Amino acid sequence: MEIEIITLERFDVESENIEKVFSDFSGLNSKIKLSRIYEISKDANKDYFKKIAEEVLYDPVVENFKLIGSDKRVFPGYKIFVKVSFKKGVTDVVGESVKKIISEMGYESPKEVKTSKGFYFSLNDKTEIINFIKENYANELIHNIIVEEI
Amino acid sequence: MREIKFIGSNEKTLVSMNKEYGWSLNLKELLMVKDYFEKLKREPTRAEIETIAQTWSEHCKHKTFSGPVEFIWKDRSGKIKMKKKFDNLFKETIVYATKKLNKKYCLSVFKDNAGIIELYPGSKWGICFKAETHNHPCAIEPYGGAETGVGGVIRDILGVGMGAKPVIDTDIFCFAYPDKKYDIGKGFLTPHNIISGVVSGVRDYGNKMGIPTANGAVVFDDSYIYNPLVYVGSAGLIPKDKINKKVVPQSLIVVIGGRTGRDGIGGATFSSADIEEETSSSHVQIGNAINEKKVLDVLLKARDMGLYTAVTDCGAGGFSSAIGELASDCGAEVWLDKALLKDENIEPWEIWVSESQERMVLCVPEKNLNKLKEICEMEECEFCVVGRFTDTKKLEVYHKKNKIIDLDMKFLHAGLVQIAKKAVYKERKTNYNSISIKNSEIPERFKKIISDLNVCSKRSIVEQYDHEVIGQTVIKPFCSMEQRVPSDSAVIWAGNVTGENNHRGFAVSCGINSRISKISPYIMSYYVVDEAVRNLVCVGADITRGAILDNFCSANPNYEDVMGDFTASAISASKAALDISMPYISGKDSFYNQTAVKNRVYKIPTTLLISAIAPVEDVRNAVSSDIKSEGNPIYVIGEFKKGMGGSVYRELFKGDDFVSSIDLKKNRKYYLKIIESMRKKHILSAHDVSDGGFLTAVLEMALCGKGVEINIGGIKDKYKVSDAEALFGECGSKIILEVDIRKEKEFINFMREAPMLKVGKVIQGSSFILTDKGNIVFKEDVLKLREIWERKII
Repeated sequence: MEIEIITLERFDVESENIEKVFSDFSGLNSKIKLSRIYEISKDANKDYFKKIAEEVLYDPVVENFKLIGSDKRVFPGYKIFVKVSFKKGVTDVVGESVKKIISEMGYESPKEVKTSKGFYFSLNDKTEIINFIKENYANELIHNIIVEEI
Repeated sequence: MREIKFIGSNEKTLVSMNKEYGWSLNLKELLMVKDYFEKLKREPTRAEIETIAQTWSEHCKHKTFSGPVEFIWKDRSGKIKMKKKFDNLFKETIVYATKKLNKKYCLSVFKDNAGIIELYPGSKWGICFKAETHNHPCAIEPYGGAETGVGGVIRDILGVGMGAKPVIDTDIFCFAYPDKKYDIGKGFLTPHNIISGVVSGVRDYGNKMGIPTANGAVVFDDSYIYNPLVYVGSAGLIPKDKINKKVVPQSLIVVIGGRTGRDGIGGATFSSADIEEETSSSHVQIGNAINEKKVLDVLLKARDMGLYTAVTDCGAGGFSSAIGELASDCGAEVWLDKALLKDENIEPWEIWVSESQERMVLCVPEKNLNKLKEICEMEECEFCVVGRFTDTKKLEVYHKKNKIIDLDMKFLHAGLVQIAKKAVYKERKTNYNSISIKNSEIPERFKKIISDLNVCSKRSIVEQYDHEVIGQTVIKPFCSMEQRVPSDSAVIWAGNVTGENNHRGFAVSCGINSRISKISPYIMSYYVVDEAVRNLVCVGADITRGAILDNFCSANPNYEDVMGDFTASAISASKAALDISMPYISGKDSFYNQTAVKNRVYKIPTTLLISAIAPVEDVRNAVSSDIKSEGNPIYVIGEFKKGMGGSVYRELFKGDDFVSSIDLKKNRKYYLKIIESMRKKHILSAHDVSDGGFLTAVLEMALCGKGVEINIGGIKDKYKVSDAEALFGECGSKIILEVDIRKEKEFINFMREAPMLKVGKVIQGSSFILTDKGNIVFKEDVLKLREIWERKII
């Protein structure tokens, strides 16, 4: 199960900055939304992940979260989703810390927690978006880049 | 146990194995290794060769700088001006200056993980300071590279003497322009990607460690396109009675902190090679600041309880380097199967050379082990006993029952015989041509200069760092009520570490200039030493008890022109230190900062970072750079000199490439007068003239919203320079001072022997006015100029 955390529109300076970098890079405009993703390997029901999101991972004042299972990813107004995650074997320090905190908070420990960054684009130009992510927000030496049409 | 076939191998085979395994040994070294094992009548193991490669690597041994050099200096016509043979370039330049100056306040120089000076005369505390580079790791993975760079230099402070408390970090970067389109080679990262990653890495590590990142600089130049330079520094405080360490045979070798994994294998030998288009992911190191914070907490508690007798950090080369160095005078027996591992699927030799982060190696008498264990458990810091120091003068490493290394310490640490490098320094042809600039051109050119990346505000980077954590940063990266004016040095109060009831502290600054280096690496060293010291002067630090660090970065030293530039720069760095009377106490060098892409070799210019440190008697009296009050006169101390070489103006609008030389002996005299004048409270604010020139420096002081009126006429008359040289030239050593109008006469009288000129005054409102003999050349609101200057970098 994935817990995806998105900053509320009025607080989301980081996504605004990425929009500007994209526009400078490609000469194109796109609405962009950045998200933090925690992929939690655990055989449990939705309540388990919801509680972890609420009590460990998200800040209700400035953020929102959603749970993403095997369903297709949806985000109205956005057409392309890019996920940048660590390649197998690269130490995921934040993932390890989250795993430890979950058990210290009294929940059953998950098998593994992997973190990724998500980028939503309103523009439907896969090639330009992949180039942009590769050149600005990912390092193919340590990152996997997955692109989905949504 | 895997053996490597050396005995009987010919040169071609040795060279081919060297490339295949990535040892970065040269042919002479390979033959020495072969000879050693032929005498032993056995083949070496993989672990033994890896150990030798790490110990003899550029990163660990600094064999280029500390090796012999045959130096030739040619003048502009190609005529030989000087020939000199150095047996050990480092000792005959940098160390020579320190020995010659023989400052009694230097408590430890060049022999430990950092240099140490006395906090104040008779103090029970020392200030330790170290700066490192992490260029190659940042070129391939900027975030991890920067994180582990910061982590590494902090561990140098933890590992100096018996361990010091880090209190400030510094960061100095050289990048290509993030807003410029480059045709980047396949597999390389863009400048934007590198900058974002590096800044995030420094931020995430320093902030989580609870150490302020409070001083630094950022240089932009196309030369750093494939080889960004990432310098990170750290300073700490150490009790004087904890400066000496001693390795006692029979004591246990204890490792505290992170576990050992396959990350970062070969990092030390990687620094001895050019970056190639295909680089292995095994060189990537990943940091974990939380683990290092635990190490810090354990270490300082254990130090104060006297639980260990020596400590060092696990940096490049991992256990191989850390244990090898600690045991170099006695010997060690190591049990690798006792090391805590991240992953069981790891070869014994990989455990030995892994550069997994956040590990410290301690020499612990067996009787103290339980107490140390208690502290580690309390701080949730993992630890393991991996061996014992011996008196055999041998390095013996076991994995279970297999002995995988059996080497003489003497061969390992003193066996390297170096080849003299050829160095040819050719003076570049420069032309002096006094350029003219029309009054009507000044406003637009000035605006373009202040928005240039080398001049504009670095706020978008600096504000990501916590520069106030622990509440001891007195002068922060930006000063004034609104934190809008760039500072020259950071000033740190020492009292909350020393526990002393006083206001003693110290200042930290830096100097770097790649533009001058491209014209003259020899003159460049004078400029950067001067700039670092001048920055200390601007806050009123006591430079008579100060010290400096040298961090050279260069391209491949096997090219005689590269080695020539480097050697010329080292010679002048030595002379500059002697002239300004500031000893070097520590340093590091980084070579091979060059990359071949599409049949073209991209080399960086010789780049020298000078980091400076000096005590501040009373941090409450430290002088900041923001203008204080209306009516106060503005003075410039220091000469305006001819030449636009090395200036941002020249980069943007053309101009001559002449760089005037500077006299640091003379500068020191008036720097001391300025400091004394500050003590007498004549001076309310001070700022050095650097990137962008004089007009930029005045504007920076006024960015708190104060109005100023500056007259350029007097400068041109007194120093016989052109408008462009007066306003935008960067030659010479100048400090701008705001003098208390009530003490102006006293100030003039006190400073009468210094090159001094009154250039303007603080006025009512927020207008920035430039006049020339009564005529207004330029008038603009400071707040509008501030908007231009405060552009976002990332």
